[in-house]
Amino acid sequence: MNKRQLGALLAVNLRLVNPQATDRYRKKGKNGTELTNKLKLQFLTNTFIFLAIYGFTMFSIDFSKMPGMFTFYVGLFVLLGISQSISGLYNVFFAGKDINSYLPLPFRQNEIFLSKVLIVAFNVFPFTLPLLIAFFLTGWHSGIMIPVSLIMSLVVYLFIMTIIFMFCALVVFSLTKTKVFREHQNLVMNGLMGISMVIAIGGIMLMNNSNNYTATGARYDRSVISIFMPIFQIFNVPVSVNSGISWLGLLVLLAVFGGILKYLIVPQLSEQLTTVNSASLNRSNQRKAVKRQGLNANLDSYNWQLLKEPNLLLQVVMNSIMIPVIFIISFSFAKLPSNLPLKWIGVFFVGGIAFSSFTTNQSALVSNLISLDRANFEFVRSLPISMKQYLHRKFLFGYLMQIILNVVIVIIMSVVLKAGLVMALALICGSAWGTYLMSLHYFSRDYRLRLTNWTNVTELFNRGGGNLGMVATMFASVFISVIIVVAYSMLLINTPWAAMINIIALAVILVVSWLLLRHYRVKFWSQFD
Amino acid sequence: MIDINDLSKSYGNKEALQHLTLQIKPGEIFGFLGHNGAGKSTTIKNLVSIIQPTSGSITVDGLELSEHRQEIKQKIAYVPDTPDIFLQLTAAEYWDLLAAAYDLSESEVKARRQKLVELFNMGLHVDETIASFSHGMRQKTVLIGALLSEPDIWILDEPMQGLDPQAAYDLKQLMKAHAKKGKTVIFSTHNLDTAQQLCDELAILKTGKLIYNGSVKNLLAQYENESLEEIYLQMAGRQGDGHLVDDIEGDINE
Ligand SMILES: Nc1ncnc2c1ncn2[C@@H]1O[C@H](COP(=O)(O)OP(=O)(O)OP(=O)(O)O)[C@@H](O)[C@H]1O
Ligand SMILES: [Mg+2]
Repeated sequence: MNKRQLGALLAVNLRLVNPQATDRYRKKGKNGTELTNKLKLQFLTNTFIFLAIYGFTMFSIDFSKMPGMFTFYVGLFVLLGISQSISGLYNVFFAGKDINSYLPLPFRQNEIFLSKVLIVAFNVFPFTLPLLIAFFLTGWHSGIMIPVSLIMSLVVYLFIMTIIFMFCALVVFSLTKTKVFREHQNLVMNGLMGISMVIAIGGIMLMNNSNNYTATGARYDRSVISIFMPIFQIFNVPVSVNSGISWLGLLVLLAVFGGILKYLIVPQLSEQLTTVNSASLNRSNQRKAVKRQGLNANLDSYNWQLLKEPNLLLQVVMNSIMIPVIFIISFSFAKLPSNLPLKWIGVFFVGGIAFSSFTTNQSALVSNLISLDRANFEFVRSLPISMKQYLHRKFLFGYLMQIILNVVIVIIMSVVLKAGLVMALALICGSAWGTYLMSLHYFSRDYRLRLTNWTNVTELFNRGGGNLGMVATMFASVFISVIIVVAYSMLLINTPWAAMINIIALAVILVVSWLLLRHYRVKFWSQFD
Repeated sequence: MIDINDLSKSYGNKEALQHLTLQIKPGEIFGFLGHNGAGKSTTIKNLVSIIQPTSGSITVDGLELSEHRQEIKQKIAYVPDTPDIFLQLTAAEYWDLLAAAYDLSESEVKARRQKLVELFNMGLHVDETIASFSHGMRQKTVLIGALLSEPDIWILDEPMQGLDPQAAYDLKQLMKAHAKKGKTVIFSTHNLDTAQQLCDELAILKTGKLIYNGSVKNLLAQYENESLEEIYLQMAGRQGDGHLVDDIEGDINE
């Protein structure tokens, strides 16, 4: 391994995953090593901010007395980590457009491998940091001195993350070696990511439902997930045979996965990448010519083609469903009573709006459709078509895709929660309207921050505040939504003027919506005439 | 010495390259000619390890490419057919990356880079992102990157595209000088004058098949009083209907 080469590769990748920050620093005249250092510093600061946010939210949970809760958290974030890493690894190694630029250069395979994996790690860390907090809190509450607990949790966290990355790398690289993959690349990969997502969501549902809240001592706890118990014991009873065995287990896993990677996967990395490269574009590059009437039909068909960007759809689905759902499950504790009277209809409508604000986020389709055009967008400007019509059609397309997604989830949620027909309808309408407003916001944001020369969809998703921005926005919207919904419900329960309150709520929604619509009409749509 | 032996490459059931056998000797400038889609870039991408052949082999100085990629890449500098790479980097950052890739020492690179930057008149743009460059500036950036190190083999896929006449001239001089030092220069081009001026050896490809391989001198000797352009057009032939040119022009003039 050559430190300089690894450093150079990392420096490039840091810029790729932080396009906006890079731009900002460049405007201030930073480049070269100085810029790299700034970006590193920013990564560290972000990590601390994340830690602070999660730490603040989880601070009050005494995991040392709730092994069930502990294993639930571990399970949740391990699953999240796995599905994120699988798509991340596939993304940087097999779907990125830049790997071709590295192949002719005399970098060593393990350097390319490591630099790319580290970049995936940078992207996954922010989402899995709650693990670190859970470890630390458990150790601390179990009576381990703070510095020791800190170091222990850091080490175990890094071990676990490394194991996850190695496991996922094994899965991705073995799969891409198969003949089936070479012949049906997109199908296999979408299948894999679909499966990993279903497993993750299924696992989460399962864990969430099996919470028969067993009473341990004076507390209520979830039921324990036994494969994660060893980790609990490391922190709960640090000096014990069990804890020793757990450490040993982690080390063995590390060694086994590390060995397989080192001797079986990495030495063949560039052969594998070139093979995949040579096989790509086999089938998908031929299409039957279909006569389409009219501009709109042609635009729709073009927009539809944009979705074929490798890895895009699953990333979108994952980021706009899975992460919000996980966040909702793990950080909000609402329960739904059944047989609600009609006066609750407004709360459900507002709930629908709130829900769509989690799922319609910066990695939704409608938030990236313009950038997906790449250089085509500039070209289209030169064509004699109305830009307004072009963008309108694009927006409509994105909104439709998003609303289909959201409505499907909302329907599933209503069924699971047994919400009742009227309430379910209110929820659906709320989410449809919320989706519309959020789509407007993110569509115009995409225009404002548009990137036409990206190499990788992650780059698009990380625009604006990057990972941190996304998580922070999600936290903020969960937080604000919970407050609004709870306050609204409280008013309904505790005051006799239900009708009055509902009317006021309706008025507020109408006024806010009108203001937003006008804002986007004046500030966004009117630019294109 | 580069030995290409019975090299074939298909994409799905499209055969982009069929049974290509060639030798490229050090000290010579070797040119690939052929219509669009003839297989020039495909051959080159095989040489620089971007794609793998469906069958056949390549050896460089006696080493099998598929088994010694690392060593062989170290000997090759490559200019891709599109210069739109690493757009997020500044030109200087891109060159640093290449210097790291070839493990060139700072002092070694610095002087050479300075000269190249001056030669190609890029001094004002070193700290700007490649994304903000014009086509020709991107081409120059990629070229400077390739010329930074002095590896034995230059492989340039249409290196003159987008260059202004001055830069194109300078590049040609550099290529000649490199070959004169006993090193290898391989390039593809659509410019037949350039090919006639520069090449010692030629390979003409037509829909994936080699239709001529030999020295430019011999070729010119075979067809007396004809320029390389005329000879090439006869050999590579027209695939469509020549009268269409008149037809289309006629339509326009009406
Ligand atoms: N990734 C790919 N997938 C499928 N077919 C490809 C791919 N790359 C090249 N081809 C096909 O291989 C053939 C040869 O292409 P190649 O790029 O080698 O042509 P070329 O001689 O470099 O042409 P040009 O002068 O236009 O650069 C063409 O028919 C092209 O369609
Ligand atoms: Mg070409």
